Amino acid sequence: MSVPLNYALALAAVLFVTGLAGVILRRNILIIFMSIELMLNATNLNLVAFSRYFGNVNGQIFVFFVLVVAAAEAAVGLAIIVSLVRHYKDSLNGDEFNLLKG
Amino acid sequence: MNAPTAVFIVLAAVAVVSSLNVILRRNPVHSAIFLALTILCLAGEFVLLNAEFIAATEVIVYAGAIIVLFLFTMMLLDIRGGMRTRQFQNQFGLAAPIAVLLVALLGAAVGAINISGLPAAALSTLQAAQLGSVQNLGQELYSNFLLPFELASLVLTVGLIGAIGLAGHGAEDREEQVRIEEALEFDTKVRAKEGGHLEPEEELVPAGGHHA
Repeated sequence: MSVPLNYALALAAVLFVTGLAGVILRRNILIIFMSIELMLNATNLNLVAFSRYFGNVNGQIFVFFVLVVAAAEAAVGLAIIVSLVRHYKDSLNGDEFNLLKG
Repeated sequence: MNAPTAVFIVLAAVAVVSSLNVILRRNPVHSAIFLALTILCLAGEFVLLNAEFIAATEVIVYAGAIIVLFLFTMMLLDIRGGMRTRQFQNQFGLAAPIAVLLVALLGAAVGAINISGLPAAALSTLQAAQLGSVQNLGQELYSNFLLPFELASLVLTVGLIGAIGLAGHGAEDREEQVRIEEALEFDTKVRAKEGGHLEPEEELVPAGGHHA
C-alpha cells in the first residue's frame, strides 16, 4: 500500500494527545471544545487508515457517522455555551461554571 | 520512499504544527483558523488513504459548518474577557507524567501493529481507488447501514431542536410569556362578561396594565 499504516496511526496518536492536552490544560471553554473536535478527527484518521489497510469500506462509514455526531455535538455544545455565558455568568473560563458542584 | 508517503509526511507536519497552535493560541479566533488548517491537512491525508468522499465531507462539515459555527459563537460572545485572563490550568505537574505515559503507551501500540499478524488486504490500484468512491459508500450506506443512516438524520434533527431550544430561551422570551399570560387573562375576563358572569361595574383592563 502507498502510505504505511504506522505513519497514519502515529499522526492520529499525536493529534489525539494534542487535543487531550488542550482539554486538560486550557481554561477557555471555546478552545476546550475545539480540542474535542481535534480528538474526534484523530479517531477519524485511525478509522480511515484501518479501512484502507483492510480494504473494507466500513471504517469510512463509521467516519461518516462520527461526522454526524460531531455536527450535532457542536451545535448543542455551542448553544449551551451561548446560553451559559448569557444567562449564568459572563465568562469563558470553564472553572467558573460549577452549577453541578455538590 | 514513494511520493504519497512524502506528501503524507509534509501534510502530517503541517497538521501537527497547526494543531499545537489550536491549543496554544491566546485568541480563540486564531485557534479556529488553525483548526480549519488542521482539518484541511487531514482531508488531504484522507485522499492519500483512498477516502475521497470522506475527505470532501470532512471539508464541508468541519471547515464549512462547524468552524463557521465556532466563529459565529465568538461573534455573539465577548471573547476579549477570556483573552485577558490566564490561559492555562495549574496542573502541569500532574499532566506531564500522564502525557508521557500516554505517549509511551500509544507509541508501543503503534510500533507493535506490524507484528500482530494482521495482514494488509492486497488491493489492486483500481480496487484501492474504488474503495472510498461515492458509489461504493452509497451502496453500503443504503443497504447494510440503512437504519443507522436514517437514525443519523434523527440525531441531527434532535441536535437542531436542542440547539434552538437552548440558545433561544432568553429574557425577551420571559417578557413575551408574561405578555401572553396577561392577554389570556384579559381574554378570559371578556369571555366571562359575555357569558354574564362578570360584575357590570368591573373594569375591563388588562391584568398587568398598571406596570406595562
